[in-house]
Amino acid sequence: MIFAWANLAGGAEPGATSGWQALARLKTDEALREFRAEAEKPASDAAKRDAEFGRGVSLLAKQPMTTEQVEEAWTIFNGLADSGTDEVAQGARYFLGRIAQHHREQPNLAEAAKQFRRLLSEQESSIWAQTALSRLVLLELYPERSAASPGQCVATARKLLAQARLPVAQSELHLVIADAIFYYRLPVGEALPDLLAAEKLRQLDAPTRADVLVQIAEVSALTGDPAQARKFYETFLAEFPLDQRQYMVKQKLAGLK
Amino acid sequence: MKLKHAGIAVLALGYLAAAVLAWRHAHAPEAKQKVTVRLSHWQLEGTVREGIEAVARRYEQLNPDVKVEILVVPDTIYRQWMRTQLVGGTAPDLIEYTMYWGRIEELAPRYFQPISRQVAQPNPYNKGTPLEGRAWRDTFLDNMTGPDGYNTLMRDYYAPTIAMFTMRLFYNRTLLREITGSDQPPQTWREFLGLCEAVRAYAKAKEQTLSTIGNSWDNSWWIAEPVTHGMGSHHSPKLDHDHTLSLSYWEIALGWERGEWSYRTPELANGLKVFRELGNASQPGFIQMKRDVAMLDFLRGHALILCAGSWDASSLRREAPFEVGAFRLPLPDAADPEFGKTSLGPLSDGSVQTGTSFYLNKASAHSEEALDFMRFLTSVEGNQIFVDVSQWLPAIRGVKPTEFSKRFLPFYDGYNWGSQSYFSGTGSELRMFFLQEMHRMFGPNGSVEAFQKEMETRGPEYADRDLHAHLRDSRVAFNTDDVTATARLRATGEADRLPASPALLEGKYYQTRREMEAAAQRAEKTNGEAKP
Repeated sequence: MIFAWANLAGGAEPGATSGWQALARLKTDEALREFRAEAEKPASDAAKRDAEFGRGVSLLAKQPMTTEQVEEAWTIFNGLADSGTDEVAQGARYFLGRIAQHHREQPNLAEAAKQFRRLLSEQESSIWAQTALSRLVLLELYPERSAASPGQCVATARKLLAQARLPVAQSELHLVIADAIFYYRLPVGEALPDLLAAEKLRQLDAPTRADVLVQIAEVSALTGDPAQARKFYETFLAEFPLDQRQYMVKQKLAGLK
Repeated sequence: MKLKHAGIAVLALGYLAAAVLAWRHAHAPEAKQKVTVRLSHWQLEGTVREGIEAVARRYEQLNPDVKVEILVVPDTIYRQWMRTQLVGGTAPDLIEYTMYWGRIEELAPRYFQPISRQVAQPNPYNKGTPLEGRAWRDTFLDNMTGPDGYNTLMRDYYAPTIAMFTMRLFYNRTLLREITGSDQPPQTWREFLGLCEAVRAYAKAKEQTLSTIGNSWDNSWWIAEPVTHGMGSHHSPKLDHDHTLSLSYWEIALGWERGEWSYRTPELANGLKVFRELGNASQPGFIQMKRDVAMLDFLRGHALILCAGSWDASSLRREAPFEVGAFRLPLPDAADPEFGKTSLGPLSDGSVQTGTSFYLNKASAHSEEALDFMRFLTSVEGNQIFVDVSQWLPAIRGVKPTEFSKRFLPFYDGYNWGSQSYFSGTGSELRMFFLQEMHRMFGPNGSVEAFQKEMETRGPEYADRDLHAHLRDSRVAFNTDDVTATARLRATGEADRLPASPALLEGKYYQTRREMEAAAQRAEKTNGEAKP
């Protein structure tokens, strides 16, 4: 998975590595110093853009967070996103969406969705577009002040699956869609294709896989497919012998017709 | 002149000797700069501190270039101390923390280093054992799937754990024999109530200060958790909307917000009745006391039973002047004449989950060495040393519990709906409100009804605070995660945290917001209707 994404992320300039290293440890003051110093050096345009991008990202983590800081980051990202098509421009577009979504005091979800959609339309396969996809799907599933019914929201979200390029992204989308179906109390059978698809993609970590196996078995039993329920209960029992649900799953298995 | 030359020669010789000594000192193997790994914890029980020290000393023998410094900070001030250290950038490399203390969504991304890649690799200290070659995470009894080992929403492994715990009622075997003529503890809830009566009668006849349970504010917490969770089990399937056979924080918290459960729900109301009985069997004024007082009451023979975790077992063994036994709290089962209809059984001790978790400080200057020490602490050899000295239950496969700790091994064959309980509710605010108001249940004038009424009137305000804090922490978590994932991508090309982190957490964020808005609208409507 790491390699797959690293390939997608290919072409990134090395940039101000020490700044990014400091930022990875959330040493924001140090990162900002590094990025400012990098921007002042005579360097390639790509390196300067990378440093500017780093400065914008650092501002979103520097404590205490201020409105001015967020707006400064917005200005930086806006400039970068509109002045190129490189990875920095894509990352900047992603962060424009995130600022609108979460960083501003008053979220603007429509603006966030607009930025994410633009990124997807321009660079669908890029790592930033694929990252935006998992955020956009949530905005479709849980829209604000929308007249759309939960079923319509799920249907709209499901259309985004076509834009998921890698198994890991597809798996993630299936999981959040299934979760929304449960949350909205839609017929549980509607979640079954998503759960089965996520399981089949084999991208789940162990704890999530344990949950998904139980979910498939439970929903299969509820929707009249005891054979499938049995198969997944048994898979769960075999793969997770120390899970707390062993006793309950054995009871369920014994109760299957 | 000769003297002058001799003086110069002596000086030159002296200088030369000093230079040689300095050079030898600088190049001697023992003078090599030692790395100091600092670890903090709050475990002052029994011989636990000595257990961790013993592992550290053995590690230093194996790794002479590393010194392990252990900081023990009492749990009463640990959280504040840890926060200060983290904010000030002076926190130790390895920090004990538990998500049960809350705010992990905010703490983890900001201060703690995920170790998902490292735990996928074998633990080199397991070489020559049956665990050789197995991924480090799979050497833990729970495969590091406990809430601190693996953060489901961040999708990352964080904290290796060193022990496993169970809750038990410890009892004074000698005193029990004196009171009942047998040293066998009660097996059912009715037998337990019978024992409470026997203790009251014994204390009255002997004119002795004696309660069935030695209780305190802290111990009440440990009693309330299994009682509400266990008694609520019958209701739990109704909240399991995602069909995982396990209740998540959101199913409980948003279930409260939606009115899917309250302390008037029959199962939970019965849980309160059981809790009231346990409180009334405790020494008067226990709510004002700390756990040390409860333990002292027990050790002095003023209480027959102490409800505690297996973590206290070694302290009790060391301090008690009598033989200590232990048994599980026998909650009412389906055969109980009063609570049977709303009871589910048997109930298990819960999942195989390990604890006492150590997080790697993101700002550690010696993260490799710190992680290496954790590898040793959680290896077959290291964990066996710890278990042998501390008398705690092991966290690692193949490590043998001592004869003493064996009796606390968990019971698994029963119902359990996960580590989130009704007592935890919407979070720490509602839980504290429960503890603050529980006094309304106890004593001759106390009643479950009085508590329920208070919970209905003021509980929503506390739940609201919890959910607001949860939303705030969640936003911090995924915003910080965005920043660090981007930095890692740019610095090293590692793209493992993108694009999947953490969409499920953000989904829960929007679900929580919707529920809070809906609750606010309902409250507004109700208030509007109530106005003339």
